[in-house]
Amino acid sequence: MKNFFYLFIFIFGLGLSGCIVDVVEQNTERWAYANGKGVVSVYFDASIYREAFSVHGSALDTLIADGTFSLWAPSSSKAFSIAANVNMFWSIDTLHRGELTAYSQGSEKELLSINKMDATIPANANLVVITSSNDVSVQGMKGDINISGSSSNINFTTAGRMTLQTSSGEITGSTGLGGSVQSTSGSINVTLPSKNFESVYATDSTGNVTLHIPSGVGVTFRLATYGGNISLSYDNVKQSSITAIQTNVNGGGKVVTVSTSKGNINVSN
Amino acid sequence: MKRHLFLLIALFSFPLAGITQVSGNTSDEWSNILAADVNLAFGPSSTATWDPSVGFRMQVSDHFRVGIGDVSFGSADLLSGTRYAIMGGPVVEYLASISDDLSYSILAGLPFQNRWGAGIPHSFGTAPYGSASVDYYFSSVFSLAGILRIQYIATEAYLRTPRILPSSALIAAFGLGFHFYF
Repeated sequence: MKNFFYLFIFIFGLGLSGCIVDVVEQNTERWAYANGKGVVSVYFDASIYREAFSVHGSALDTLIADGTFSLWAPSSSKAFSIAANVNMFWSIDTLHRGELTAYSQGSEKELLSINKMDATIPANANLVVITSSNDVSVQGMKGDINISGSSSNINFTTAGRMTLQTSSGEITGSTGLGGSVQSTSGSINVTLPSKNFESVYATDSTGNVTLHIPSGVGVTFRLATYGGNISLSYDNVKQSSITAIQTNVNGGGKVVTVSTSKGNINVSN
Repeated sequence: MKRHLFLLIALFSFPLAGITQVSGNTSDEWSNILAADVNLAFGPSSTATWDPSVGFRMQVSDHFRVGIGDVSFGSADLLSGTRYAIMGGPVVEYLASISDDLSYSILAGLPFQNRWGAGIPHSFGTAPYGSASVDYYFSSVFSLAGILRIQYIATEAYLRTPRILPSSALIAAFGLGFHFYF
């Protein structure tokens, strides 16, 4: 009987637990605008954004950011006063590199964090994004993009080059000039819509790699895996292997290198 | 009102401890303990906050252990960068048996926290807590514990991954403990 009583007390307590009380959350939004004429590259440290981060390329020479900030405070009135101190601005250095900075005055800035950020930058600029676990979406760019994360999913579209790296996230998108893409366990799915690409280097460990290449291009394929399957179906060439494929198609030329440990490789038009 | 939950549970629990101390049958096999605990509590917007920690407690009498607990590292992404914290502090535990393979304990701790990073000066915090746990003994050297914990942020702020909590916040967390005896 005594044991049942203890069990009841324990379960009763368990039902009460699992929450934080006497904390008020308030979200506040800020905009930042700057003239982006002449900006060569834009850098974001997205690792401090708690949720998704997206960048849109624009034909206009403007830098725009729309951020949502989250703060946890002991009361609504305190939250209101803390939110009033949040600011955000663009800075452009002498090398024409743009960077977004958010800051707060006051001693309570420990209670502030950035939930999500949407940015619009000149499409021709090069983009550098450092992140950790939040997803990144880059659309409508024409410049080179360089994104590195850990468990981030990366979704992108650029007419320039790609340099993409993540560990467990998935990478999906298209690039005009090719470049390198690397994941560990996430799948890679890249489309090259233009025949003008230079070269492609893709590597994965357990994730699958899928490449779509426009037909009629002279390509040298170097495809290798340790434990996956390779399928090449490009123009008139159809090959499959469980180890490696090295072949020239349409006379060869542009190099497409893909390697995995256990992931499958699929290359087609 | 909510802040009085801790006192309510404490007042409710300690008489139970006293009853069991008299009528219970404390095992002679109890000894020093190495604890690896993790507890979870949800904040606003269902944000899950975690507090994994390790600790060591030395048996000083049949029903009491003292030691160091809540030795932990945490981080939170803030507006100005990533803020880090290390913490740890003294703990006192009262324990009693329920049956041959079950025991319960009441524990009070006072972790101190040092925070740095994110372009903000070093700062200290403390968040005293009380917890109740039930241990199930799989062997003489290992038990698994279910833990209920009430913690109060006594200073201006206190980091609890992945957020920093404001002063006077009250955390009602549940958790698991992996306890090794030697």
